[in-house]
Amino acid sequence: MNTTLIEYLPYILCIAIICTGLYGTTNSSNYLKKLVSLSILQSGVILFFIAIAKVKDGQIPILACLDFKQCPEQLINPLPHVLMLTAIVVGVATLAVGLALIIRIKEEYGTIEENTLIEAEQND
Amino acid sequence: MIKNLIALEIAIPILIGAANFINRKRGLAYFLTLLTVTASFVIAIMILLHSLTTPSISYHFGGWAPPIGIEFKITRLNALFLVVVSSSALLTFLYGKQILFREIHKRKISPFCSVFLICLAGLYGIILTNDFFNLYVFIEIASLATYALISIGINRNAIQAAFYYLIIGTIGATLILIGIGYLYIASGTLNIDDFIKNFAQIKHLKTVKLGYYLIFMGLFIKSGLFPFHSWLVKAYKNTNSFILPFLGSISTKVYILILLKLIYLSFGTEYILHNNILQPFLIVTGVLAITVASIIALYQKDLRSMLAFSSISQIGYIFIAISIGTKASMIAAIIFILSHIIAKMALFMVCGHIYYYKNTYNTEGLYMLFKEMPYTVVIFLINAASLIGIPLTFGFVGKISLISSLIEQKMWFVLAAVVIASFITFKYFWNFSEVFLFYKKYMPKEQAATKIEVIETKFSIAPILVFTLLTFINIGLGLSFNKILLAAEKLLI
Repeated sequence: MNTTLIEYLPYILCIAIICTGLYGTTNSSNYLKKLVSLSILQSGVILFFIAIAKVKDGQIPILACLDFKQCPEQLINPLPHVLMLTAIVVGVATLAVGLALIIRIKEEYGTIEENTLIEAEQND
Repeated sequence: MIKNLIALEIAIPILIGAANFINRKRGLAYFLTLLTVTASFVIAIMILLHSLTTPSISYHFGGWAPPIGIEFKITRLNALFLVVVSSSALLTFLYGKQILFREIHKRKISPFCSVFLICLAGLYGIILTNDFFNLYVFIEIASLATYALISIGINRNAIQAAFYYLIIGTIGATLILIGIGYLYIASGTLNIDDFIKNFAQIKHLKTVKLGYYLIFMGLFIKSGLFPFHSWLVKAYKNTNSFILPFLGSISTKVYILILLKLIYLSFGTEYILHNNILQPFLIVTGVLAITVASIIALYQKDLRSMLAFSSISQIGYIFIAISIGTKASMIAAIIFILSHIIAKMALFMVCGHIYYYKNTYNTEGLYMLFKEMPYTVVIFLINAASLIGIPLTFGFVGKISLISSLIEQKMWFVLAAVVIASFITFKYFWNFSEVFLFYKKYMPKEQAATKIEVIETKFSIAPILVFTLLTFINIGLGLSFNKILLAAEKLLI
């Protein structure tokens, strides 16, 4: 069994998700789609951090092994998970600000299609 | 005592900012914000004075020692930038009461002040923190607040500019986050000092290399380096005139400061710049920035888009100074950043002042402005001279130290580009000065026939006082040439 490929699989998945998000943000003309793609991009990064914390046959880092110095290799690293809690909050905040801006754009211009908006901007 | 002040510097703006949201009275909101900004300025001054005697102070959050807990670190450089950011915020508030109350709807002023305070706290955090992930979080706090501040503009395009900045800024911040992930994989730590301690063992790894490339790419996007600058022009062109002096001078420079600290004080120039693709990349983009952005600025008819392109070209100079990689060039970069902050802030304030009276940024409405606002135009000319690098101004000190470190490294091609770009800078400022001073024949006939009165002090004298103060600081620093270079040497201990 080719274990290296299996070990790389989560990272390949993360990179694929990140690339999908990047493609979506740059290539879609609808602002809502852009914002959703941005969320996908951030999810890819979150998955990446979760993947690096994983230890094969690892346990959750509470009580099962009180002496950390002796058995770090049996524990899943909790730090990336904690970091990602913050990153998720940041992602939600970004999404909220973005959606608020989209609502304002819709109110002012009556559309959220990029091509129409650029025309409207040049005519102003 | 002094250690707690470090935490309070961040905590006070966030708390008052949150409390301000409930408040509905705009006068009270303005007063409260002014008070908070003054308090943070006083704290910053105290921290700077303290750091003159003890070069390095570190504050541990929650009493956890650095490799585990989050650490805030004060060096002289950090303390200096803390003072610069807080004094800019203070000056912006002193200058812009009328502009704030006119350009922003009265019910939006107290939320606007709240968001401004949160942005300020984010910027302080970026300067102070010594932890990679904390850096990312503060970058996001400052950026999210900045998107909201930009979205309130003089016309509806500001909302679109804010959205555009949100997309690009978030991509930049996400790149920084992935980079931090790579550095964490390689080193197992998030504290920057702890990371540097074990750096010798891991510096050959490809993971580290990819990590810092991604972080730098994110910071380039955030600081508006030449190919990634389009958000900057859109945002500066359309946002309200109150926030522009602050954002236009401070927000990009803070990211450049982080880049400078990472390259010179953490990773080391030997590793990052020499025998690495990054040095040629920075030189090429820097030269492109100073030439191309200056040439585009020549063709601008709008005062603020001219200043935006001028900002991009000035950022190019700073990146050239960073890319040389000697200690003298780092000092040149710091002086350049400071001189640009002072001069650009005064120029954007002049801009806002002109808009307040004339209601336009376009050259067509500003013919013979000298007759109506003589004093403002003189201030404009002096600060433009500082950006060009004419002697007796602070900009001259920056430019001469950049040129001397270029000569030292024998980079003649870059030197030629810097000199040519300085002439183009002179030309695009001259275009506008010509309009302000001489173009009487282009004025509409009936307007030219009437007698033009001085209007610049009709409503308020505060803006004039503030940008005069900035101009005096500019010239004062320009005159004390040698002292600045000596002080800058001491800054880096």
